[in-house]
Amino acid sequence: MSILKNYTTALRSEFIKKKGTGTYWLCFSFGILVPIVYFIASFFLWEDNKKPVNIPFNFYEKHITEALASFQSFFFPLLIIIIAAKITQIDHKNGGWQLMETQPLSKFSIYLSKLSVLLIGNLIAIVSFLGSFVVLMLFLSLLKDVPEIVNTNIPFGFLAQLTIRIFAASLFLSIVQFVISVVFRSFILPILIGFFTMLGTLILDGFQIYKVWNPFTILNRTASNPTGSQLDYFFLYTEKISIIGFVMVTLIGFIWYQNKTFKRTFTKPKNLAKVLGIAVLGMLGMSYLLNPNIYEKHNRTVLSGTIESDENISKAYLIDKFINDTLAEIDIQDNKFHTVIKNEIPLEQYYVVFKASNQFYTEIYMSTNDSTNMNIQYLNNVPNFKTTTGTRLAENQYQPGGMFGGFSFAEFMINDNSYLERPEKVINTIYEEWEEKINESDKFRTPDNYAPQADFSERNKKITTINYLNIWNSFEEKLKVVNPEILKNTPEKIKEIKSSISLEDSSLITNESYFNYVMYEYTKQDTTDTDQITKRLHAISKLENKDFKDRLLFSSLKSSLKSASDSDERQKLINTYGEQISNPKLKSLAYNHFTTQEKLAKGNPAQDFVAQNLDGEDVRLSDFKGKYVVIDVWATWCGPCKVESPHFERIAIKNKNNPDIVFMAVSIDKKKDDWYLQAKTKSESVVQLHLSSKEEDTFSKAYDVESIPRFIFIDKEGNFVNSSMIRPSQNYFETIVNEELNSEQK
Amino acid sequence: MSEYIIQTKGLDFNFSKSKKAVDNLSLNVPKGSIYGFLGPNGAGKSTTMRLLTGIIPDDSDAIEIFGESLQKQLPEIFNRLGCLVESPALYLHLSGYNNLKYIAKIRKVDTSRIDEMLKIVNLYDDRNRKVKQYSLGMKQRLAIAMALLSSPEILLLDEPVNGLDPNGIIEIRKLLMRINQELGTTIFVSSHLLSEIEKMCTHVGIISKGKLRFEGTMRELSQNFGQCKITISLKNSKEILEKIPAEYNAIEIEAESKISLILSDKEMIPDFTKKLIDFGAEIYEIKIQEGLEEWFMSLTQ
Repeated sequence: MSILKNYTTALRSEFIKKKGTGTYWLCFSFGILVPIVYFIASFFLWEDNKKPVNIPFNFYEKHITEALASFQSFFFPLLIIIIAAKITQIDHKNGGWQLMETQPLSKFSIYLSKLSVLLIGNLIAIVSFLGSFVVLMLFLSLLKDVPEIVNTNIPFGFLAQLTIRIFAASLFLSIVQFVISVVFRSFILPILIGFFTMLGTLILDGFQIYKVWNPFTILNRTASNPTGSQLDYFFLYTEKISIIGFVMVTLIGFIWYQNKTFKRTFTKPKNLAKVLGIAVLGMLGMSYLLNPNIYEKHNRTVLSGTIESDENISKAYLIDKFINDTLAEIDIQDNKFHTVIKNEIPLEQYYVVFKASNQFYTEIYMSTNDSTNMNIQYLNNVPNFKTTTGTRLAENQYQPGGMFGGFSFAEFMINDNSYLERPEKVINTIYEEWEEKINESDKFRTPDNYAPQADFSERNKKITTINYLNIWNSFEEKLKVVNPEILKNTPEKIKEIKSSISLEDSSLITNESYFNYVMYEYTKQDTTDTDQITKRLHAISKLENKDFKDRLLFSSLKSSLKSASDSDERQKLINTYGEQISNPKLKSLAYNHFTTQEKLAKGNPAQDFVAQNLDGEDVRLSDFKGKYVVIDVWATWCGPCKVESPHFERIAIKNKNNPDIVFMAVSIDKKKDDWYLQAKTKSESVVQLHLSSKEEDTFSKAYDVESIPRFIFIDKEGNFVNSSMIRPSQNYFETIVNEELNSEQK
Repeated sequence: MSEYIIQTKGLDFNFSKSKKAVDNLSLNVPKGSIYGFLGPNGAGKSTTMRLLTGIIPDDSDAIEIFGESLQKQLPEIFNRLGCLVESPALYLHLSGYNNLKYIAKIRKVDTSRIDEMLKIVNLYDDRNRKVKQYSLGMKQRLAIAMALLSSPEILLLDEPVNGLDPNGIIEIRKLLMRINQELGTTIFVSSHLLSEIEKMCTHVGIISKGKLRFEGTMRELSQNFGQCKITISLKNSKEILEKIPAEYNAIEIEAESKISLILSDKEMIPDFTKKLIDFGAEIYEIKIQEGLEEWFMSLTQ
């Protein structure tokens, strides 16, 4: 206990010693600097930065995120470097160490008291930063108008936690800089060491190279994750690393200070033993934290979540992206759900579709024996999907930066035809980049240091490989024309890349790149003079693996049925290939598609439907028999529809005096009021209709409406001219309509 | 022995393998003495001081203060021990007053004593000026004030009058002697100035090349070395020899025309020379062989 008594005496005497050095004033000024600049910038750029706000957020939390980065990555570490040097220089310059060592103070108290002066300075800087920030932002919120949806309560809890977290994150850097400043008597050397390490870190950051045990990186991590742990831990794992590193270096630093020289500290057996012991313990702790966490499989497949909403939402669906098959129906009670999914689910990205007044959806990665928890906000018809937790925590946040995670020189080379003369170079570049990307692909970590499960990483590797093989294939196509010699034998390196991918991997079937790759490989051999689609289907039908073949057939068939020009073609397609699908479910789906497309074929009758007009009266399609009908299927929340409707209206207005044709806009909005308000403002040359929920269902199925806007052209007898027109923004749309009208006149 | 407040037993220290800075040093400083630690520059005085204050760690545990091992009493011993080692350690950016306040805080001394101390060392009027504006003498005095602040039982001072003008030297001397007499403070002072030691100290220890050459009271010192040995080269040595009174002792015949003898003091040479001339001596040369200063200077060889 005498150590503590000594310590408070030492600390109080330190405060006398730093009088007139302006140390704490420096801390204070560094703290308020960034908020002042931020305040001024925000004040003048307020109007420019105004964006429509749909999702509620806290005013202070949002702005702090932006201001924190410059504080944490530059000003704060710079302050720490300077203050550590200043505090120790007071004694280096004046022979103070010796003076202190001839006072009744234990060396540990001397050491700890000086460290405390530094840490208190840090706290002053953090508090002045956050405090001045809040005050200035409060001021700003009073001067400027803040949208109502934004929460302007000061989040004290958040700020208190943030203060502690920033302090924890700064501990490691502080002790390292402190020890360097104690051990080296020069004023400038510790500052140079600190400053250049900081610069080095910033430069490496630009290349996206991070070392999480770097004290500067730890500070940056807190800034890039101001809301902290996604799993409700108080600290991020980087902050915990900082604390362990702090304890370790404090102890080792003290032993060094106590023994004065490097030699005495690290060569005398007793000291060396202590130092090594502490270092080993510290490293063990840090590597435990650095080791990425990977979730283990759950014992059931669970999809759960909560929805914060002003509506009562009762149902959601888990849907396969590929077949649009509903895998599970989810009951939602009191806007909460917890469903156990009985069927097997391969690792894929799935849609989770929520039925509210307007439908909204998101995509999640899931597989069998995963437990996934979603956190959703749905206010004012705007969905906001917060962090999805559970066993696929990392997977659901993973965002590869573009196809190649940034610039790919290989991709550039392929597109630049000048490299056609240097195929060797292209091959080498592809290979090197591929190798590099493969090694990097499992490096993703969440803020809490969770990594994706092994199956996901495997999958990503494969997809990366495929992307590179695809660009090789497009290059190969060009080479066939210019330099076919070189393609006689597949280059070794390309062979190696290819060998890591199977052409029958059903886990990748929903991936468009993989699909394209497989198709290319299979049709490459086919040199007959037929179209691509036939070549494809032909190649697929030769596959042995039933599952794979089924899926490929289904997907190709689906798109080729849709794009077939007449009934004969469709018939031929479904007969030849539909029969080859062995999976009964897929087979019947394929036949359904055939039927639907057939129904929508030119000359076939368009199914009648009933909708309500602006006056609330029932209107039927059949009411317009004897006239041409052009339909625009839209909704108020559909962006592309807004782009098309002026064009549609223009054509309608042009033909407003033509009694043979009627233009109508059919809305599938769930909320009739939303539709009414917008429809009322539109041109009267377009008949505005709204489908009730029930009718909308039947309509969508009958007309195979998978996306909007959708344009339908029906002739005088009520038969299809074209069930899926091009968009009116394209000039040809009008041409088609006019041609049809003119041919009638003949 | 408990009457010795500081004792070292065969203290050794070397900075490098080849040269020993302190070699088998056994000091014995009596309680209540003013002990002068004398030696030429580079003899090992500062090193010894630093060992005595624990600034240099003594791994051999050869130092005892207050009758107990120094190592065991660090750092609490500094409540009873004040020191000034090498150049004064002062915070230049603080005022004289604040420097003392700093020490007062650490040693838990009442702040009223600060003013007292400032007056004693004659710095009261300059107490609020920053120390970087002080002259060397003022700095020295302030450092001494800081060492004295907590009225320690032992004062260790390394060359305290270094850089002071004659007035300053006298003042410090008076101060030290006063506190020694009034408070019984044991003062251990190192210096390379023999004259200073002679005027102030009760005991003396002489060090050269790391080894202790002499230790004892001032009286013992002057007895051993206060006497002056001279050699006289003269023509008629035998004749004169018979004439020199018996009171002069240790007369030796060095050679045909050379005799040597010991006088109790260097100051007696002029009188003695006169006497010799009265005896009719024909003197070619009178040379001082050994005196405290000569002996002392020979130490630097």
